Amino acid sequence: MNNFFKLVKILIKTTELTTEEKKRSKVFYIILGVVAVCCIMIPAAIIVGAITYALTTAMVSMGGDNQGLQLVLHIISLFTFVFGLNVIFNVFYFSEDLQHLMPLPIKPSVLVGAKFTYALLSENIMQFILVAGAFAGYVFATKLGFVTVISAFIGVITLPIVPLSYCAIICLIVMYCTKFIKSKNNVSRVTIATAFIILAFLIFGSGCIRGFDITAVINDLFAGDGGFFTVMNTILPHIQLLARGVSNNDILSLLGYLLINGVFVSVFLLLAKIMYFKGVAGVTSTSCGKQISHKKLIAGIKVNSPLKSYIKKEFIMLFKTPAFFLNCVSINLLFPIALTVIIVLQQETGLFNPWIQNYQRGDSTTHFIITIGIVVLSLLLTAVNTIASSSITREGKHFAFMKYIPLDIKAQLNAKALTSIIISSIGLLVFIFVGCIYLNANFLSIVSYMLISLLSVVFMSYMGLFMDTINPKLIWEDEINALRGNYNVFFNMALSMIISLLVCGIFYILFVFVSVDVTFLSASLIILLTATSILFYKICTTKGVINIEKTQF
Amino acid sequence: MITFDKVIKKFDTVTAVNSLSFTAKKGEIVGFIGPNGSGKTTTIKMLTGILSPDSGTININGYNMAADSLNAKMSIGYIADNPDMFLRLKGIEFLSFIADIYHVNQQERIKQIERLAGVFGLTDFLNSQMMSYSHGMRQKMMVIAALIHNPAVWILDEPLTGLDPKSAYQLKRMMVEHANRGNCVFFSTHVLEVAEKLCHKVIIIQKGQSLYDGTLDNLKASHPNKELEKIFLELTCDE
Repeated sequence: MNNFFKLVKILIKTTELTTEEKKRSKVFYIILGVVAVCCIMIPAAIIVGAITYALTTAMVSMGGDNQGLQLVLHIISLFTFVFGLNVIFNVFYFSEDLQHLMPLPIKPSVLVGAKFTYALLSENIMQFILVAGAFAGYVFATKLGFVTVISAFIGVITLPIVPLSYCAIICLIVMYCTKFIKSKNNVSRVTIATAFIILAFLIFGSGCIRGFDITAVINDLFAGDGGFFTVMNTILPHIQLLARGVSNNDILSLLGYLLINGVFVSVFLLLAKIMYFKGVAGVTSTSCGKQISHKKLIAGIKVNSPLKSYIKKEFIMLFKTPAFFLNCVSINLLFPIALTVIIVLQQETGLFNPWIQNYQRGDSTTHFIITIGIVVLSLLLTAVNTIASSSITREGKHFAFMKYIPLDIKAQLNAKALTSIIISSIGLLVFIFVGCIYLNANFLSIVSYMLISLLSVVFMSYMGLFMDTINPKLIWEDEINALRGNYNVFFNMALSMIISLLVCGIFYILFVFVSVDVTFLSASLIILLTATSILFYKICTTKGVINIEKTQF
Repeated sequence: MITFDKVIKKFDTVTAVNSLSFTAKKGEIVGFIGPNGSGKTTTIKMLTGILSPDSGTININGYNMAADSLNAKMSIGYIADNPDMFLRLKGIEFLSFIADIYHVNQQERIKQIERLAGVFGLTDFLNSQMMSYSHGMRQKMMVIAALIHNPAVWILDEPLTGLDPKSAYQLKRMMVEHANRGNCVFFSTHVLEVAEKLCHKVIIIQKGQSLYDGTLDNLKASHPNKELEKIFLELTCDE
């Protein structure tokens, strides 16, 4: 047991910022920490709480019970599973610390248990907050009992255990039984495919086919026969018990919930005892490339400008590193597809018809909402994909390379910003173009929307990049840690939300209260975004360059 | 070709390099020797532009590292102590990228890649991701990348670590040939025998200060009847 706690402590310590990194920008981190808590964590918890509250109120009025809470907990658990699968594979089988840990006289169950606990604690902070929000929403809508509070508290901490146990069990069996997967790239392909399938399941199963008819969703929940709901209750039976413990102040349900958690953990620890060492043997980080003729290889060598070559290198690193592809690139490909699927599915229900008609009639409110929507979507997507805000961090141990090559830092920063701009904007611009055709928008509107989107991406890319120059997290064991344990990424998202709120607020006031014309507002937005893009380009290529030069690593 | 003049580098209260001065001339192979934590890597990082000195001057091939850093860096072929770099790239992609950064033309890069990959036995592995390479193969790839633009000054941090005997022999031979062509090789090592066989002169540092700067013959002459290892231990012993 002693070894277990020591291991957990050491594993968590390896992902923290180094003392040197912490010292660099203490005040900066305190300010941004407060901003992140206020702008990401609390709003997200409030949204989840509000959804739970609304569903619970509806259920209670119909004579129902905790189905709303169950639904929210199921969705949160599903996301834990989707994002946890890759994390567990990486932490169990592909982390660099294995070469040091494997020779130690530690039982496989202790080693895997410690790694599981580390993944549970370090990767699920956001989930703890969301679950807390869900319980708060439920308690506000109903009543408060002693067991309710205890159940909610235990639920907040332990809810990820079962979905992560599923990940661990799948991971142990797959690595034990198959040979093909024993490469990091294959693992990521499998987990990316799984994530895509589950997201598709969510899109199709979330009720969007019925036009987001909340009454139908509530009726299904009340009857308990919704397809998604039934399947999830079978896969995650403990959630029913936890919800019952919270809603009925029922100690037996809470004990049942804890028992199921215990069973899942015992099963995976037992499997770890049997399968882990055999599964971990022979794992490789990658497979060898195809043999091609020397002549063909040499013929493929082409001269490029240093800038183009640098951007190409950034692209290869992003697309060929599974953790970067899954977290940074795939969202840019996924979201236009998901939005298009939703729009196409809604054609039958005619959900968007009033919008389209209003737009085509020249309704200024619809034009305003679309314009602001494009800004917000472009800002948030560029921040969420983290390409810019992890640019320097991704260099990791070979950060020094940036300094000893004969290519100035300014050019390198521009190459990194351009990489973010290209990858972030392609999906957005295609989606906006298709949307404009669907709305039958005129040429000027199409150009205006695309320009607004592009400028938002440019602004956010340079801002994210600058944030990462201030204090990049250069020490990480595994690529996924470069993103997950990186405060810059998190703070950049918080700032993107604040900026989005500010844009919405200011332009709403101008549009509604000052009655400024929507065309004038669009032109103002273009000027504002151009100015802020230039400003952050300047900051990035002056102060950002100094930050890089000062970073000693 | 290398002038390192009264350079000081401090990290908080610790002085890593303390008013260190040395030169490396054309045609010289200079060994840089010192115990762990003596300031070797900090010195090499300043020579290559990775770290800026707090004071002092660094010139490489006539270019000042502070004022004309790009030209100074263009003259350097640098092998870092850690070869785990850009492992997701294929060998050929990595070499092409480096060749682009150093403005190597098509004809020259093909010639260099063919020659150096042949010398180090990596031709058949150029189409594989570097992640699949062994430590030694990665080290060889770093050597090829450092030499692809045919730099005048080689700065090598522990270049022989991880190389098999044949590759180590090839690299040592290349170092000698490079110096014989009127260029300069500056390398750090812990292996005194290597320094003894290759170097025209050695610089021994301790706590960021130069303890000895001269030929090995003179060093041995000043400590008669003592082996090099013994002399080194005596020089670098604290008390």
